[in-house]
Amino acid sequence: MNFLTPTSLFLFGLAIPIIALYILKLRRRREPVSTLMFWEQLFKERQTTSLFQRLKHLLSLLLQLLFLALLVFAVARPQFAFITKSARQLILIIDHSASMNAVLNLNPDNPSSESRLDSAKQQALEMVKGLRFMDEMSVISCNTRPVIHTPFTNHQKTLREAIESIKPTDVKTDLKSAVDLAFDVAQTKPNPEIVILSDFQSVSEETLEKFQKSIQQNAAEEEEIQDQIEKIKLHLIRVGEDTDNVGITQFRVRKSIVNAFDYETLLTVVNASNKEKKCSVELYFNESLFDVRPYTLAPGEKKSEIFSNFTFEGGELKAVLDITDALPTDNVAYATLPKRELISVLLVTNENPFLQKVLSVDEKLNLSIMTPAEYESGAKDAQVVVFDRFSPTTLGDGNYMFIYPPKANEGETNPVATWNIGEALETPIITDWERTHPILRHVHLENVLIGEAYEVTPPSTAQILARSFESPVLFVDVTPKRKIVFAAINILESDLPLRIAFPVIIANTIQWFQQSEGIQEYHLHTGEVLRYKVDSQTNSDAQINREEDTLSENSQKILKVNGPGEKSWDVPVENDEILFDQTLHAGFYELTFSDKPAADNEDETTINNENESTNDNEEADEQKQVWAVNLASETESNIGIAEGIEDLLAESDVLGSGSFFRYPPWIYLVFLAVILSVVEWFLYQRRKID
Amino acid sequence: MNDTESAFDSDFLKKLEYLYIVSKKIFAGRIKAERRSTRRGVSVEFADYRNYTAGDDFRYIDWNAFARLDELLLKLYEEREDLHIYFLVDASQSMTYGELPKLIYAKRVAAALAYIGLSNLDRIGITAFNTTDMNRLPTERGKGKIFTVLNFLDQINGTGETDLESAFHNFVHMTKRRGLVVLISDLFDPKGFTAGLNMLKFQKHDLFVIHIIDEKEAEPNLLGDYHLVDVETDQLRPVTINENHIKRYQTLFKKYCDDLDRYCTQREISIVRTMTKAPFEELILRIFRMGGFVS
Repeated sequence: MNFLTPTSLFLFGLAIPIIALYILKLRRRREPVSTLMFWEQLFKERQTTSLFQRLKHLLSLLLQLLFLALLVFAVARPQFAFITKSARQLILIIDHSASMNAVLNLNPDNPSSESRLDSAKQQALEMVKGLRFMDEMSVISCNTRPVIHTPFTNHQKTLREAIESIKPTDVKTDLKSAVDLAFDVAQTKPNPEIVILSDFQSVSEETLEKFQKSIQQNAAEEEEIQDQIEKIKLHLIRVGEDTDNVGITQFRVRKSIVNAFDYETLLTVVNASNKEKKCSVELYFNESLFDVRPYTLAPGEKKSEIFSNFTFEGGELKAVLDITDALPTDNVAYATLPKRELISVLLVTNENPFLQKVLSVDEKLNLSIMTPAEYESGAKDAQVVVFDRFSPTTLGDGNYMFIYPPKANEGETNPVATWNIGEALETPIITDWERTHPILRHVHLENVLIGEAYEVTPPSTAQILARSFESPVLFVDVTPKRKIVFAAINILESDLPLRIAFPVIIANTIQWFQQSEGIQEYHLHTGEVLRYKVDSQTNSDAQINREEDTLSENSQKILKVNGPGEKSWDVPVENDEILFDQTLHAGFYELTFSDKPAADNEDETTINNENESTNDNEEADEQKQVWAVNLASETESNIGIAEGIEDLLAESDVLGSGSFFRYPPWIYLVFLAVILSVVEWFLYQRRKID
Repeated sequence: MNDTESAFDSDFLKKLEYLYIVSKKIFAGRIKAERRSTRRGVSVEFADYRNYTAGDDFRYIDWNAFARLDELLLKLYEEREDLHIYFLVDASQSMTYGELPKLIYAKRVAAALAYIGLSNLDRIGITAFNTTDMNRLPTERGKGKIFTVLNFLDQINGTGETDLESAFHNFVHMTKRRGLVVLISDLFDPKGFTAGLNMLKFQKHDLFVIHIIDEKEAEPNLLGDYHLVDVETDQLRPVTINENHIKRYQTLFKKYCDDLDRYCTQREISIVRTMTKAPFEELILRIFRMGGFVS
């Protein structure tokens, strides 16, 4: 036993005045009475117990000396080795993933039912309350990313605040990273214990194996501890029970394969329960009810459905599952459909009524027609350029369709041609074509009569889509900056324009040019980082780019992100990119431009350009991009318990309360001293002792 | 107030007259020498028969009864005589105890009863006793002697110890004529009260005990460490008193009073107990109403 303040032991000297005062005789008051005969009679019996009387006197002295001893020991603050050695370092992992939002007792009459996270936090607070004075605790929250809320401390207020700061999220569970972090942290401590408060609804096999190893090694107490991980005690505390749930596990949007100007939305609903469930899915497009689909789902059944035919203007799509279950988070899913711009198509031809007609009837195209001479004199920007029997002298990046371009004169070379045009063919027959390629989808080229064509040798990077016996008649060549479709037939000299295949091929080609995976960028899972390249946006908008140049170099661009629940964040642009990782809740996240400088003191340049900046801001404020963030996780919707964890839950150590040494020893000593003083006072007042 | 102050102020004298009037109502119908004696004597009022014994006066033989019964019966008549009332006032030091000293209270009670007695043409004698002195006021008669009585009572001081037996021994030897003895005392005699009272009873005195106690004697308000001092002997007793002691004391005191009551009841001695905090006139009226003063 050691003392933190051993000099306090000198206070034992106070025993001397106590003994001295005790030795001094008591001065009694004189009280006249009319007769002593009753008092004599009364105290006559007690004289026989004089020995006991003396002992009582001694008891009084001993009580006072004991009182002094307890107080002196308390001031000296003793440290007992057995207590210090038993100090624990608890690492508390609290799962706050989406499944922890499930209510414990689903009662429609009581909407404020406690969630699993509430229960976990409550249990954590109880653990904090039960910490002994020498114990330490660290709090880690866990969803997809573990976050250390507080390092090791025994300050109860800090721990309570750390636990209270853990908020519910709609993010998937990844216990492994949190457990790995906890084990890494535990390595540095002599007596670590890891406590996991979770519903364990999705635990990876690797994590299970780690649990298994830790628990089994702790159970074998007599085995010599060799590995550091083996001496880490693991406490698995399950929160919540298996509960019925129906959830949307997939809500993805892509461009329609059939129609490049439409979207296809894939919705998947899962019944993660043992009962048949009936529900309906309501689809809201821009807050207006768009469609309602009833579902009857067998236990464990998963149903998927595709929705299409959305408006050309784009908007926000929301799917709402009309059912009351334990986990409301997965009953709503979000999608965003970007607005589709008209595709600018430039047709360079002298005269081709078929092509002109087929392109002009498509209302999603913005068609321009130029003659080859006009094109050569001044090229016009367009998303798709169709060269009809013409080959330009220069070719930039973009999408081009060449229809029977002329062969270069002998001795000359076509600067833009990566192909070689050979001899003319006489009535070639298309013998084979790629039926699965997007350009030739739904197209039949059998028995097409071709009056004029030539042999062509495509570049090595090309993909041949259709060929005759002699030569390819249709190929595509895709390079990083350029997409080319080459047709080696003169359509005016064939019956192809008269076939249904012709408009289909043209439409397919336009769609193929425009196909990209860009739409996926606007759909994220909760917890994923939202990345946004500012340059890519501003480059497409020349006006914004120009205005950025007018900003001073010191000003930093701020983008404002508005999230669900009317929350908003100012996200600075760094290296022409923003990284936003607060996608913790499902919903729409709207990115708006705000060209205000980050610094409070605007510089002179900014003030001088105030009017211009205001206009810029107004224009910039109109720029926005919406992301749809969804939980969309089948594992989270299945709010049961992971297989293989049940046995581990039973085997894991039960966390001891350790409440006996909750406070340092000096507090107990003071407490004892107070009790002793009360006892001594009571005995004195009752005249049990003199 | 202490025993050196006069116990008889003008208010007290007014109360005396009031008490006399009240007592007249209680004894309405009584005539001269209004207290009937237990002794039989010569008067006109027949009392009883008894058998004739040798030496009896023949004049009192009931010849009619002899004629009918052939048996000699002697007619007894109630004797009318002056009543001698002796007040024995305890003048020991213990009677000076209390906020209102018991001796003052005793003097007032004695004066009141004496006044009523004198008014009724009884003979009143007062004896103040302790171990050292015995002051006597010879028997007086007539209402006019009340000031003599008051002066005597006023001169009594509380000194000395209580010794009932020796005091009453002297009293009975100096008092040949039997009468009503009114003992006013706290009866705190370490030797006990029985020997003294027996002495009076054996001398055929009618005995009336007025037991005066102070409230602090019955229910002492003492807790803690004390040196108890006996006011009569100055004897010291160091004690540490707790609540249990107080309860035990009260039990002992009550037992003492119960023993006294039982003793008096067994010997047909009237006894009345009072505390000094009770107005003395109430005590007087209580005495008359209980009838013990007139046996």
